[in-house]
Amino acid sequence: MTATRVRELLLGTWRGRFGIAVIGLFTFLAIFGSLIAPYDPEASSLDVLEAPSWDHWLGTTESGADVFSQVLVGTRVSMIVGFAAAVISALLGSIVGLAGGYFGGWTDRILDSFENWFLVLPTLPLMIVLARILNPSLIVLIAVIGLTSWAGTGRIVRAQVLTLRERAFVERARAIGAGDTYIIKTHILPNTLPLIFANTVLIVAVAILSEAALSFLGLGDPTRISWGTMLENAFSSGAPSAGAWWYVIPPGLCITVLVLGVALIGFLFEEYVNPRLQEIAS
Amino acid sequence: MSESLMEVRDVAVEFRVRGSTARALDGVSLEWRPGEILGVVGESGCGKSTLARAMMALQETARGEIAIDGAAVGDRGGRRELRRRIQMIFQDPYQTLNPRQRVGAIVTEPLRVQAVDPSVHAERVERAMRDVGLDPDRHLDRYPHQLSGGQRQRVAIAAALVLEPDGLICDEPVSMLDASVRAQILNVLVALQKQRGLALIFITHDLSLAWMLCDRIAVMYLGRIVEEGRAVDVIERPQHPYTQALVTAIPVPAAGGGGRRELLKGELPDPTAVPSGCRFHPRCPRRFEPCDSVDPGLLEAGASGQRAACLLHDPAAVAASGRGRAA
Amino acid sequence: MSSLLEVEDLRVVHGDRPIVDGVDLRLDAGEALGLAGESGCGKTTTALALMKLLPAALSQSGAITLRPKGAEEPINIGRRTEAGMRVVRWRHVSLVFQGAMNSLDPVKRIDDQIGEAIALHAKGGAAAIAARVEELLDTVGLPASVGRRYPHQLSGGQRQRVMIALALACGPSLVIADEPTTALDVVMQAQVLQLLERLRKELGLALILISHDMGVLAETCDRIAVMYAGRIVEVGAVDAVFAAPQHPYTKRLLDSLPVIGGERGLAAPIPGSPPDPGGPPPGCRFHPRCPYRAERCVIDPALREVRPGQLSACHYAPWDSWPELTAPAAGGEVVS
Repeated sequence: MTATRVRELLLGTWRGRFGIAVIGLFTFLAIFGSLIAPYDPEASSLDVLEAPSWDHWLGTTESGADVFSQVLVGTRVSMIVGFAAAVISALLGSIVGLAGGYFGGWTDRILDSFENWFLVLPTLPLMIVLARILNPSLIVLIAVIGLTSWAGTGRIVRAQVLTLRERAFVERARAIGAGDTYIIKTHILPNTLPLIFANTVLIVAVAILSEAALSFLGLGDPTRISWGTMLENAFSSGAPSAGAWWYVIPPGLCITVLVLGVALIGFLFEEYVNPRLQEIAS
Repeated sequence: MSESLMEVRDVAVEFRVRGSTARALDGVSLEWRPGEILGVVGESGCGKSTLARAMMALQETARGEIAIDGAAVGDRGGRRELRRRIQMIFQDPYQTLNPRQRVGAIVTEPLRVQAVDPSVHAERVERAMRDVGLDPDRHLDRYPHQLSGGQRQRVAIAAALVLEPDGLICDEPVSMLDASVRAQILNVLVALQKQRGLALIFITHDLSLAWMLCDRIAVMYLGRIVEEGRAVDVIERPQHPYTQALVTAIPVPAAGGGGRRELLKGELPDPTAVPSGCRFHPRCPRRFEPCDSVDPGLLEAGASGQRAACLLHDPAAVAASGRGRAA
Repeated sequence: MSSLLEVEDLRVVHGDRPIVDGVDLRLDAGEALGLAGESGCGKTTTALALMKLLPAALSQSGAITLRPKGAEEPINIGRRTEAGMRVVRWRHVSLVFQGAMNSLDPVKRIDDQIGEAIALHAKGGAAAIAARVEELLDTVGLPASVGRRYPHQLSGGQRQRVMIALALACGPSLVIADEPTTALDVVMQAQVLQLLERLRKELGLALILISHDMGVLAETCDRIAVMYAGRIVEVGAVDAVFAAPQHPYTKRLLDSLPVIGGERGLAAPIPGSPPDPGGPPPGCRFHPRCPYRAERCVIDPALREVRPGQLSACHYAPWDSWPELTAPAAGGEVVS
């Protein structure tokens, strides 16, 4: 993946531009959200479940807090959990896939069974169970999501490493006396990174969605505001039946748009990486 | 100190395939002399590539040993020495270079891996590039995908040259290249042999090529050498029925073509089921009684230095069978 | 007697880059024509163009007329639509693709694949098709048991024969074989060539054999056409062309071929490389690399008859003998 090609993809396609804009916007909000927010998101007031007005652009919650401020601050949780969980997932998956694919033999068999086990487990139930057992916090959330999604990356990485291992340039490296560490570092990893990257971006999307789902189910960090907890509060306080659309739609919309933006970038890279894989293979 | 650069001593390589054992190499002994161009020819599946990899210690052997300058290569130190002195060129130029490395890094890599003194790197790289006909200023910064097949193969050769090896094992170095590019690469290799005194092994299924370039040729069949000798003798006056069949199968690019020929029937047997006795006997048009039970070694046949693993060259076997005519 | 295939001024372009630049061919029924040249010269593109199988990015023009057995009217391939071509392909002219061994569907059995081809053009129940499949396998020298196998269970030579059987499935008058022996060993190659020769005689098949290996073409073909950079530079009977080539490129190709029993040693390679289709040299496309080049070479040469039955696109043909060259550069040339 050359820098120019990446720039072309990101800026030259509408998907790329949309994705970059979305991620850029939400990153900005994640960092500066609490500074921009007009109100303290947790401050309650007497204006309960008020429709949007000049004072409160997106209305208020059941405890009188400003919805708009909550949405801004909630961005941080989604972004942090999303990216951190994806990074953990990528690291774990890559290490396992690399080790199994490169060393083969019993290492591979053990790691592969381990991986298969995680692949087969239904992720949402597993996440729910784990989140229930462990005390809910951001770290736990990140760990849970990371642990349940690494196997997919592992699989892909292992397959790629298996093919790379047999390539002539790897044999050549062995023929000049290179050791395993060197070969992995110089030959295997650089040819696997584009794949890992493309896959990880998609995992970010999944992680953001998973965080929202878990928070919505009440398994998130109760001390933090996130879009998922907003939805949970909205539903448990009867906002939908009260017609308080301003409470339900903004967080839902944010989740949707962010996930869409990330997913579009992810698909873009995946498409790009795949034909290149075929070029290497042909 | 022995006269040979490298000796293969009764090497066997086995693979487990679905429960049975495939004998990819079944007792191969070979001698490679300094500065010599040795050809290893045979159909695909005969074990020639496996032999190359065994000679480079890239493949574990079930028995036998490889020796450099007479000393067997056993341990790590021996392998390191081997890899400094013998290098290998692979068949597919499109797979032989890491697509993420620039040419400069590719050609310098062997020097770094073998911890050669960094002060000589630049000079060796430049000399190697020029020796293969690539202008260093134009190419060192490029990526493989910017090069043609012929150029990629040249880069691979340059990378092999920087360690200043004594021998180069070339596994089908030109079979995936176009006719005119083929000629260019072959010229490079032959020039290297003259200029640097490099010994070469050419592994190929193209007998005409082997005939044209090599000093000596070894013909392989199903994991064994069945004939060896000087290139002109082996190809122009083959002594083993298999070699004879290969040679007659070569299309003749001249008016009138090759004319009527008796072609070898059937296919190479599966290496898990090597025929008893002489492994070629089921397909051999000249087999006689002892061939299905006696496994011949390489016997003297034809010109001096030429040997063939065929009982037709064993006077005792021929006499015993009552077959009047020898090969 | 009119010929089986007549091609006039075939051109294939990729945008504004010519890949095939004015090719004329003629083939009689039962004749074998060899198309020689290095990769990139346009031979495969020509083959695909004859069957209108070019990818969408390429466009072709030129008259292609086919007069196969079993067709009342001559078929004007040049003007046929895709739907019109479906009736022609495989029934009258078929193709053995390059890299044929990888063109078989890996998840279907052999007899299903051949049967599929038959069913496209012939009517008949399963039994009739199965019988024909067995017949075809037998024709190419494969036992009927091969039918029930999958491609990965067959050797390279066997897969090549299956491809030939596939090409024969609907009884065409012309088979185009694109590098049919390139990936095969010398023994398998000889077997396949012998097969093609036998089929030609038994079935009266016409053959266009494409190969960069002149030896292969000498074996099987009656006539040979040599292509360079999208144009035909020489055509003639195989014996004549090999004995007395009339174009410097043909001569260089022949010179670089080893002839066992003759002189050993590498011929010097032709310097340089084939021109970029986007910017071909003026006049004769080969002249920048030609050791015999002279003034007239910058003018576009025409393919004309220089000896009875032999055409050449060299201004200075006929060449009754080839002058000695001073020793050309050895392999140490610096390549750009």
